[in-house]
Amino acid sequence: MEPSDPKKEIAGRLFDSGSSRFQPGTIRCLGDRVLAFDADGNQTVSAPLGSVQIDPPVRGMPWRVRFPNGQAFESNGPTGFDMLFGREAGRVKRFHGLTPMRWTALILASLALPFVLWFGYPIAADNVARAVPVSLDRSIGQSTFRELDGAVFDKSELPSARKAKMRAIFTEILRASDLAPGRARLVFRKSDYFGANAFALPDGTVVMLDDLVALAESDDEIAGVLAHEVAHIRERHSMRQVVRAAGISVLALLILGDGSSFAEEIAAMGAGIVQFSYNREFETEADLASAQIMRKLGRDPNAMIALLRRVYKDCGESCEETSILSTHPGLRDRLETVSGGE
Amino acid sequence: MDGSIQTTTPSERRLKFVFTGQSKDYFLICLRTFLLAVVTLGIYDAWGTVERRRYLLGHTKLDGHGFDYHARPITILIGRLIAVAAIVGYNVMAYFQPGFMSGFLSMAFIFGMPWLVIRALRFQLRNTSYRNVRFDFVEDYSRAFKAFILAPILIPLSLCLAWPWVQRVGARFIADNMRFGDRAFSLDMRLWKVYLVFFSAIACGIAAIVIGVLMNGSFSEAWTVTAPLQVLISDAQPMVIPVGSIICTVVVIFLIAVCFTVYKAAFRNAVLNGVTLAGGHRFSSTIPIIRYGFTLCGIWFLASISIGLLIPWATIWSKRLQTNYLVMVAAGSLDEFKSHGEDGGNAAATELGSLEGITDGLLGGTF
Ligand SMILES: [Zn+2]
Repeated sequence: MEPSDPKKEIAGRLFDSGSSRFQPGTIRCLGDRVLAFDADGNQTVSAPLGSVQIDPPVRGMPWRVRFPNGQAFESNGPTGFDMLFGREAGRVKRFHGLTPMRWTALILASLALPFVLWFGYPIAADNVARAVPVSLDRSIGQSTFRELDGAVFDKSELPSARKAKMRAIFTEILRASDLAPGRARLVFRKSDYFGANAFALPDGTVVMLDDLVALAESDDEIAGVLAHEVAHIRERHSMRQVVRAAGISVLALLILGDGSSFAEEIAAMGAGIVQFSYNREFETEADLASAQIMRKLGRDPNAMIALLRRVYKDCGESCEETSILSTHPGLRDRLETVSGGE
Repeated sequence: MDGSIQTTTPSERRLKFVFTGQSKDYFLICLRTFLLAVVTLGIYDAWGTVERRRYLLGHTKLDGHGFDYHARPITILIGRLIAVAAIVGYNVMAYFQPGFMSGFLSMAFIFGMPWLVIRALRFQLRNTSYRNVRFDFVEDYSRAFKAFILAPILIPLSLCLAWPWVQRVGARFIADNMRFGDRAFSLDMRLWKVYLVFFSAIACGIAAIVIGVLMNGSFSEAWTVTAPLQVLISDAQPMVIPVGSIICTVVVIFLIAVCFTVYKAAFRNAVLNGVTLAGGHRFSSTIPIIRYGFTLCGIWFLASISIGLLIPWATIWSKRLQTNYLVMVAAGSLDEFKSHGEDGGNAAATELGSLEGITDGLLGGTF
């Protein structure tokens, strides 16, 4: 028998192979072997260190050692294993329990994460969106247009001379916008549901509604809106929005998958606010591009805002200011964007 | 074997289950695992889940021995990634083929759900041990289909009257297929007591709603606050907050939750009192159902208004309430349990364990 070194011995319960029957026992580590002894000091098992399964305790639990033959050892207390197994115990213990230093680092990292995500996530999502083929934008846009056309759009009642003039302006804008030829088209519709509005669909369809045309007092106002919509298409804002929204859902699913329903509701609200901010970012981007195109054509970039003010004339001060719950920036900020701060 | 001698003698021992977990310890574990999950974008939560479950099981003690949980976090992580991929894939498909996918989902749910439940049960039980012996679950798809898909059809058909009966079908399926080592569990439970509580709970719930509606009428006009805050930019009108109605609604919902919890506790008592483990072992659960209902709902109400900070505390309290009223009536010693099969109890269950949530709900009455 080995001379027992009391310092390198842990007392506990020794279970028979695959059985709930146990007796008091001890284990020791000799070289790279783990040995277990019963109360009388007889060796009951010996196994290489690499073949035993060491389960470190979660706070207050005993250490458990499982031998390949089905025998198991359970320590009387949670201490002593570092001494017995040295590095091996440290390796399995690493993540259980943290020093104050590591707690601090962890809390700081958690606090820093929102900032990393806030700035890094849009860039990452845009890279994903760039990899999506444009044909997908087309099919989504076409099906959306078909749905809207059947449900809320009526035939435009504008005189054909007016339409022809706007088509000419549109062609002019397309040329100035560096958009691939054939990537965008202009259609006229009337809609009681949307009223005075204009949209860009991801397939390149720009929809101009009669009520908006009726409110316009100059060609520059129409041109500014068309340039804004063309910019949405050129920058693929719809697809980028879809990818960003999908990514946020996946992130929320990963981080809060096990969370409570209350945390999920808070997260959904937060995600909504983030989506609004992305939308405002895209609108600002489109306004900037519109102003650039308008200057290139020698037109007035600010004219579009005058038209929008007429559209929102009943709304007053609340449409002038940007809020975290609005999809578009406030008119005052948009004017500043298109005028380039002049 | 002294075990075989003892099973023939009627020397019954009452062994109390004890829960020794501490709120402070569990809070620190939850906080650390949550923060690590956040900085790793959710990856670490697989490790956190194992650690939290090991803490809760390890501090559930019977006869001086704790339970343990052996699932490998990497297995849970892979399972979750597959689940996330399936959800993402489903959403992408549903975007393009909405009609087909909704049909596909309902078929997948009907035929896949029983399979997922038995796989998840097996994963959880195989990874749970007590005194060096593992639990296990015998897969039986056709019985699972009957218990979880066919039987519940009776609930709407019977205007919910069949609910306790349907629940018993599920509980019996789980108990009959559950193993501890090479020993089988079985369930023989009487329903009349459960039905008594069931009808009382429904009556109390309806009474709470009626009183709530009556109170609401007298409260709502006297107790309103006009909020000057403007939530939507387009909507410049001030918001009117009916404080009286909100309080009334919260109280009614709380009382309904209490009724439901009281019923669940009664069902739990009935299941555990009817479970036997081969070898003559019985169990006895004597949760005081009404006190339990109010305490548990109160704890979880506080937890839910604390933005999750009190959830660890509420979990520990719930476990304490559930565990400390449970007793095992052992026919002799607990020494004679043997692991099932030739694996010596060390077999790593390699099945994917992505569905812990489902089993938590189903196994609530077992541990
Ligand atoms: Zn826009």
